Amino acid sequence: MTKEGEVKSDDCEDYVKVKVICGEDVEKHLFIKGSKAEKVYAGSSTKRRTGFSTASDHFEPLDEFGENKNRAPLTPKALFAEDSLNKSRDKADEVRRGRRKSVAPAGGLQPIPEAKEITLSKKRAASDNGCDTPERKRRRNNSVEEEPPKTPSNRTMRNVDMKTPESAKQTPGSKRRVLDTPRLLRTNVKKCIGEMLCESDSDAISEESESESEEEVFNDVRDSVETPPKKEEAKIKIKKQTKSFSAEDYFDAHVSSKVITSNHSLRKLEKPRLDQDTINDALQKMPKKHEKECKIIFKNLESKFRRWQCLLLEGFSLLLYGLGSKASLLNSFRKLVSSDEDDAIVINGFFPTLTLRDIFSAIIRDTLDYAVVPGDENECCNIILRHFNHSDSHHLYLLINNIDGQALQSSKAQNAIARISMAKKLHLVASIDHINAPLLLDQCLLAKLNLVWQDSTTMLPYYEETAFENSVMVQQSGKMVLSSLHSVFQSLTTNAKKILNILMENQLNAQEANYPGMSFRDLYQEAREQFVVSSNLALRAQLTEFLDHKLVKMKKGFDGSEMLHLPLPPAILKEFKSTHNFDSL
Amino acid sequence: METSSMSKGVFVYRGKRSKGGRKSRSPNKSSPRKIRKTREEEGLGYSQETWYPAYKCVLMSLEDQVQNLYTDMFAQLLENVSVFLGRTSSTAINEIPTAVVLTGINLPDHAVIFEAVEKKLIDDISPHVVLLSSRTCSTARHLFGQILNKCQFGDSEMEIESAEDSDDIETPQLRKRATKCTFSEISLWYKNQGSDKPVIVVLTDFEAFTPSVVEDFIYLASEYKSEVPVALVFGVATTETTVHCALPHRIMSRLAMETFATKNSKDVLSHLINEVILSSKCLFRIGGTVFKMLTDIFLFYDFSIQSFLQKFKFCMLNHFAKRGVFAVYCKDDLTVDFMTSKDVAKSIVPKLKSFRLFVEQHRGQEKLDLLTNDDHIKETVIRLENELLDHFDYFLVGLKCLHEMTASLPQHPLGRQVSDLYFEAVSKKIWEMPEYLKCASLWKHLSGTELEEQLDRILLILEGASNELAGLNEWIADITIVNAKLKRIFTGQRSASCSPKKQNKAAELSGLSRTQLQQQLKELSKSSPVQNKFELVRNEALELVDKMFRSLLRPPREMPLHELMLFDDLELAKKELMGNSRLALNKALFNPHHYLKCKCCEQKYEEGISTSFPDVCISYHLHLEFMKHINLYDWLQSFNLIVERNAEEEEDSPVSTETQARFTQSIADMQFLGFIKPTSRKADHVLRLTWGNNCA
Repeated sequence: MTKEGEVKSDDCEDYVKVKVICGEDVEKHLFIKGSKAEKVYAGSSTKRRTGFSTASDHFEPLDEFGENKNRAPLTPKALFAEDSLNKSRDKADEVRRGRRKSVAPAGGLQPIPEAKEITLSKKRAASDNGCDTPERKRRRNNSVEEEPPKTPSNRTMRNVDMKTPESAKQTPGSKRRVLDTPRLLRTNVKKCIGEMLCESDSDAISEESESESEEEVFNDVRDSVETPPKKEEAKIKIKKQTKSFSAEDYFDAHVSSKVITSNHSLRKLEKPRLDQDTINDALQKMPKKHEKECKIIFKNLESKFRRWQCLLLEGFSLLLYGLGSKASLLNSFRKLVSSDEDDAIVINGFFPTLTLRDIFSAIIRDTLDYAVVPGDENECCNIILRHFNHSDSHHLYLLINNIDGQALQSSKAQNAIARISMAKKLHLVASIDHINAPLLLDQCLLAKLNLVWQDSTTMLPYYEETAFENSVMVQQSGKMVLSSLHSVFQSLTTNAKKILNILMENQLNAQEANYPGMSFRDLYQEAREQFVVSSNLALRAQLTEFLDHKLVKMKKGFDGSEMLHLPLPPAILKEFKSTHNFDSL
Repeated sequence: METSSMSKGVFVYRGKRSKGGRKSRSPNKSSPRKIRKTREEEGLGYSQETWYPAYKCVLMSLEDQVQNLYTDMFAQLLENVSVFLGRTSSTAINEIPTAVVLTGINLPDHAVIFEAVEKKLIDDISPHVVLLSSRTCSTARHLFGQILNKCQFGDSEMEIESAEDSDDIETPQLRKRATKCTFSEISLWYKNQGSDKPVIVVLTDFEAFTPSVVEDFIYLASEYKSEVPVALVFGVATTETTVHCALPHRIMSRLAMETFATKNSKDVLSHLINEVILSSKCLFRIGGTVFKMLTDIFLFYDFSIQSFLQKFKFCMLNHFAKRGVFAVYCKDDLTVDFMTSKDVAKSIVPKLKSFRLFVEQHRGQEKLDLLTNDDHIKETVIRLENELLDHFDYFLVGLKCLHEMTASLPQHPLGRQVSDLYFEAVSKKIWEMPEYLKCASLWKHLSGTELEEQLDRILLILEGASNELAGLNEWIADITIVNAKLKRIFTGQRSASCSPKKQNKAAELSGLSRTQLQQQLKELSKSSPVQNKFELVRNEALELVDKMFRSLLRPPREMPLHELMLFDDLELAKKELMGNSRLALNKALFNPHHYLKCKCCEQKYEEGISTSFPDVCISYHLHLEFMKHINLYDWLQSFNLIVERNAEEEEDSPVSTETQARFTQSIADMQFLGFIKPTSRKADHVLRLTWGNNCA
């Protein structure tokens, strides 16, 4: 820990040196420094979390506005640059003794944030070496997190200028105090940083003793610099660490500049991505964690079922939330409620091609025995409402797994579900999983749904729910695409099949890595030659069908012509081609 | 699992009813058939519980009262609208009479208002009232279709053909709707049915209508005015300006508009609280904290009376479910009365905390009796329940009196509404609160007339309630005496001049030296100022009032057996009515032990990630350390290190397929939960969608 601290403060030393060098040259030197740092930085493996230095830059112009009043009027741009240079100017002032020139607005803008970033990343570079244990990561994070306490006021908290706490400390109106030699300052700051690192890392120290040692550290700093708010500041910071989230984090997370991450990619692994089947197999073989506990949780939830049913019958709807797949829970509840008399419908909201119409037709055709389902959604709602409001009707339990699913997210779907849930004999149980799902529900929906929230954390993994999701880590085997291709293909006419074949051949024969597609004119030519189409229009009519089924995608080429291609990987195309005998067409 | 499929998302489970036997599906009242018992009669859910009839009775009485209140509150508005439309539609002016009803932003309540409007208009003006919502009128054609359908077929049987007409009884057919949806069709229909009553079209949510649709409709309606008299009602949630903004001048000039405002929903609520919930007529008593939560949801979230009532109903249901038959709600219906002493002694009642405390207060034989003598227990319980119910009525009267005294005070130390007082007074001794003391000190500055007025109003409240509550007569007598005294002073004081004593003193002071004067003044300041007659009477009055409050406002929550009457389960209400899914999700991910209750995951907050955590929790913990972008490879490596602790020091230890599979699944879960999403910024990176401490 101390080692790291030292590394850090060494960095600081370098940086201060750079800055002490006289005014006009500041930028230049930073550049030099920067390029050096860049090298080290490039060599490091894991770089993260440099972003927030620039976040502070965002705020500076406004925050420090008062301070700049007494100077020559500057553009905001210039202010931007100048603020970051303030600290260097403090020292430079002494050297130059009034020879100060106004900083060139445009030039100063770019390099400074960069320089900050570099010092940060350099620090990281020193401690980073590839991936390390989480403990170490945490420690490293702490050390980065540590930087703010060195700056005294809230205003400068965001500023990552850990080298010059004193410049920020001064209130805008106050006159700047002449500092001691840069050398002394440097050693003091160094001491501070080292000390603070030690402190926050050792959890054992109680807060009181921490503040004591804090005082000691800062005592000598105070000789040269006025630092009254420092102690409190540090205290606050330490308190903050035990809290898990704070509003400041928002600004850390939403920096405008790019976030630096390592260049590792999954290609380094033996198998970059596993396909769904391999995953399922592997997971099945593994012993399940916490199986017993999950069962207990599930039992506890099942014991609530009777109350749930009672609430439903009293006209409330249930909303189940919490971590874990609720599919099995809903299914088990379904077994309880669907009796000889009553119907139940289970809807998987996570099913990608689910539509509102599916739900309506399930209710109207399958449970109410209508021959036709009206096309208009309002009419469907009206029918359902009328039936289930009637005292003579049977009960229907509508169990929606993931009411926040892709297919049901539209306000139209939500409104329709809320509307039918108002029927007296239609009872709605819905589950939500997405962290932002409650945002879907506005006051009208809530009033219609008449929800009772139920914490039903099951802690079960979302196997089913994620089977459809094209997860980032899962290899796209294209099985679904292939099967859909098969079924569409079977319904095509011979001519259409031939056109598709031409496109496919062209795509498979193409050697280019970046295949742009087959131009419409080429396709027409080819198709004419094979006597598939006779006119331009006929071909277009065929293509419309492909485009509608998303079999073919059309793009504008460089020369403005329409380029057609099949949005499938070559492997799948080959497999598809091998299963169908195109030559016999 | 039965409900998992890769090809469909909807699974229907039908009951075993024979399909043929279900011909009576359409609610056709004319066809004779055996009406099946409803589920409630069959005894499903709570309905088989013994307390259910009591709950139902309380609920019905509440609903009745609310209904009456609504009728009272909207009577004036409905009358105004109806008079306006009746007046203008009969006169032959060129413009279309339009009533703009400002409904307020409490959208869920609008349905109730418009139902009432519809009923009133049908009764008063014309049978042809069409209620339209923007949901069904996306184009002008739809709008005309709706009007035609509703006028021709009425509301109830719009789409369903009655079963007798069609041969196929089993499958209900959709009624053929009007095919030609034009205004000329409407005019044709109007001519055919030959009445001269206007067609009233009510647009319930004007803001949500497409302006062009409304424009077309108004334009056509005014063109056809001679053939079909049309009147309009717009329901506007915001302000009248919306109508002016939405419609151009050429359309507006065809309307004769008048605006009607409904009551502010805040006023409706305070009215509802004063008249229904905090009245002796309401048989369910809600605890202060829960009540405060409900009003807070109303004031800070939706302003909806309907959802307030639903939440109130939820509290009621839970109270009855929790206390069962012992829930105390009405004097004439005490369950304990009908039970044998033995059952009472064995029931939950003597085990209640407040009853045990009550027993503890007694000594000797009395205590022994309360613990062992079943008959004595029963008697005591009945006595206590009666006392509780009685006292609650007194308490409400006391609250109203206190409200009279505090509502007009500057800065409203105890709030403006009776409910504000109720929140506190129901569980605490309000006279011990600093706010009450502040009020008491402010009362001392009341002028004579103010005090008189307030005493008069208190008397009025007390006298109003004294018919049922005999115990109030005492207070009435006392207050009347003091009030009379006060009045006497006023009539007397006007003639009396300033006290001569004071003048004498001033004369005494004039002849003294400076030091003597100083001393004299000091002495004067020490001696308390002499109170005049009014001050004496005022103090007397205030003391009396204070005494009355202390007696009437004894907190019901501190009385024995209060659990049976008051619903005060704030935790349950908060959890189930407000829900906090984000918190639950984060809690489960951050500290799975909270839910799993296993030994292996038990640990302190800061200690970091345990190998025994569920995979998704490990991934979650790791992802907290990242910034906006996350490199999947690095994430996987960290995951690997956690999972395989023994490989701690070796860097880039190979990742086994199992680990990778576990990681992949956990990532998929995270993606499903909305914490990350794929990005194309950089290869194998994901975007973090939440923000938060990067080293939790």
